[in-house]
Amino acid sequence: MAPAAYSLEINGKVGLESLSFFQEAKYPEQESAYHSAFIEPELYFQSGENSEIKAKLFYRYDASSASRTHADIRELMFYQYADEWELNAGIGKVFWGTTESRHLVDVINQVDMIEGLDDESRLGQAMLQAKLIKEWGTLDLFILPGFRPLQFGDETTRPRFNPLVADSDPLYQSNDETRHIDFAARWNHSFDELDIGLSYFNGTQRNPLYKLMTENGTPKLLPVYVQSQQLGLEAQYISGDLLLKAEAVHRKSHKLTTGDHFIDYDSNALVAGFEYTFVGINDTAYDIGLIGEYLYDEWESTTPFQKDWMTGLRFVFNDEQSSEILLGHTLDLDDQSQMWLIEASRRLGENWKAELTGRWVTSVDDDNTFLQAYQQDDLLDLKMSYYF
Amino acid sequence: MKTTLTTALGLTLTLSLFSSHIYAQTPEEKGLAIAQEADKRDNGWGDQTSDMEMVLLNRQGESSRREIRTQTLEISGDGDKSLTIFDKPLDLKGTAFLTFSHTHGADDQWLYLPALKRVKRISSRNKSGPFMGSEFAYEDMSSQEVEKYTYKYLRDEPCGDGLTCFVSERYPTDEFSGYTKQVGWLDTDEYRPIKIDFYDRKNALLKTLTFSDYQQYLGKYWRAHKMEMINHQTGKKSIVNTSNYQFKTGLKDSDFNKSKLKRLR
Repeated sequence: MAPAAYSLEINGKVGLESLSFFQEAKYPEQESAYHSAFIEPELYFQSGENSEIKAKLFYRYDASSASRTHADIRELMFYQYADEWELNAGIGKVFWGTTESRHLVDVINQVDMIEGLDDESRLGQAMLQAKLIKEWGTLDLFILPGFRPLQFGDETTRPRFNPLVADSDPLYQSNDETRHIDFAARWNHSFDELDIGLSYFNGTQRNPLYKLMTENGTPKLLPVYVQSQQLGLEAQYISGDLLLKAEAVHRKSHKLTTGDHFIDYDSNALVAGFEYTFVGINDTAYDIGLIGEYLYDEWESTTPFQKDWMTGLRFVFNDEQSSEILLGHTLDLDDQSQMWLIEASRRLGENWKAELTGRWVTSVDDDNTFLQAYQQDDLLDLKMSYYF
Repeated sequence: MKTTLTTALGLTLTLSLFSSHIYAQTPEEKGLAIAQEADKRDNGWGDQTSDMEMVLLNRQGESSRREIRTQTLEISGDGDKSLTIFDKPLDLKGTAFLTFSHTHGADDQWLYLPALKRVKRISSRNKSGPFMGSEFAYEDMSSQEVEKYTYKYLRDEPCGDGLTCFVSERYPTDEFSGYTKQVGWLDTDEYRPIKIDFYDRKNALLKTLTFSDYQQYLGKYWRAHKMEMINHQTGKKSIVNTSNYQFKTGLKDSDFNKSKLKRLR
């Protein structure tokens, strides 16, 4: 039942996080551990029978790294609902896609690299969104004013690229720079066992290219944001305990030549795989999920995933504390570089949650520039959150 | 007037039971007839919403609480459509399940994860798994359709509060059910479930569910306000206290859409 009009609710979480590294730091400015505190309040205001305002703010304070101390408006949206449509305006977050290892079609929100142990933390994006919910599916139309470049941190950030990324003044293909207005559309629908989505994006490509330059005599990487059109397809088919998942994109994008000219560049990328759940192992409540995904991307300079295979093993305990463990392994099929991941979480009491993340790399190839950045930066992250 | 009507109804029922005896109804036929009558009596409520509080107790008596809200739309000719919204524990607040249950074949199920704003289609095969870490399995919480079981009537016996119960066995038709059989007690006056014994895949007694604090709504539909599930093998217990039952709230088929999971509060 809809609550009475003009009701205000405040929820959220607050917590402590400790990020520690196993090896000695590559650069003298980096630490062996980063301790921080964060708060993520959520506000909900019922402004009318069918309208509401939702806000979600984020702030992290890190005593040892100024660049990890940051704030973001994850959401500040006005929502107007009707039976067959929605009109939403403000700063928001959307999710597109089906796969687990990489979110290829999900291009609306920029990645929060400072939070970024993966690409799941996203920055809020200014948007005007119209949604149509019909018999033939759901259609979303977006106008996206304003672009948010990636934040790479500074010398104290760990891990970091070498040379450092000069993210304060990136290069944009469009003269409108961060004021470029992007457009996007997505249709999605369910046909019995098949869930399918088609999307289109036209605007500033979220992940940049890099140009080597020198700043006061030191080499730096300059992020270059090009204009891009992306056509995306996402699908998931369900058959009993087996899920088949795929995301594919075709990009009509641009590259920067050595003479600083932008030239057309088209590329394709794919993530496809499965998730199989073994339910109730040995008549216990435990479930084990096996995940396998193949990653392919023609565009070498924007991602480490040219030809990779990700294997995941998810243990779900189905207990009172919602305990879960995820083991992940990504193998680069070209050069055999490997990345390992462990994620575990458990509720403590009614309001607390403990989360552990570990990540390390093995047999990193000398030419694998993205994984090179993670070498000697094997990490363990412990997070304790209180929900209110 | 009401008394007369009930008596008349009781009389018709007695007559029909008598007449079935004449045709030498088998225990299987009688078990099915009882289930069909119970289903018929619970037809026509349209839609309903309720608030549930679940208390999980372990053998040491330590407890944890969950709060959920449910919205259900009655679908004639197939399983119901339902929405389950989590309020507590707070780390799951806003998480929602959308289920299209089917009398034949697997249910369709979507999960909404508010932190990621992600709608995920999930496998409904884990029906034998625990619901939120409780002693209730997903299949215990889902819409109970006649076609999901085969039946066998056992006997009539007293079942407390001056009530008499039909005692029947029912066997899940779904091969992925966690049970080989259930023994159910339905009171002969109103066809309300009073107690269910659940037998695991090794045919050992696993759990007992008891229903109490019944109230009648819209002059017809009986709802238990308290359900207590005891696991005999672990000694754990889960209690569901349901409040704020509302019927015919105006929910429509279009409210049960995966694109609207984000709207739920």
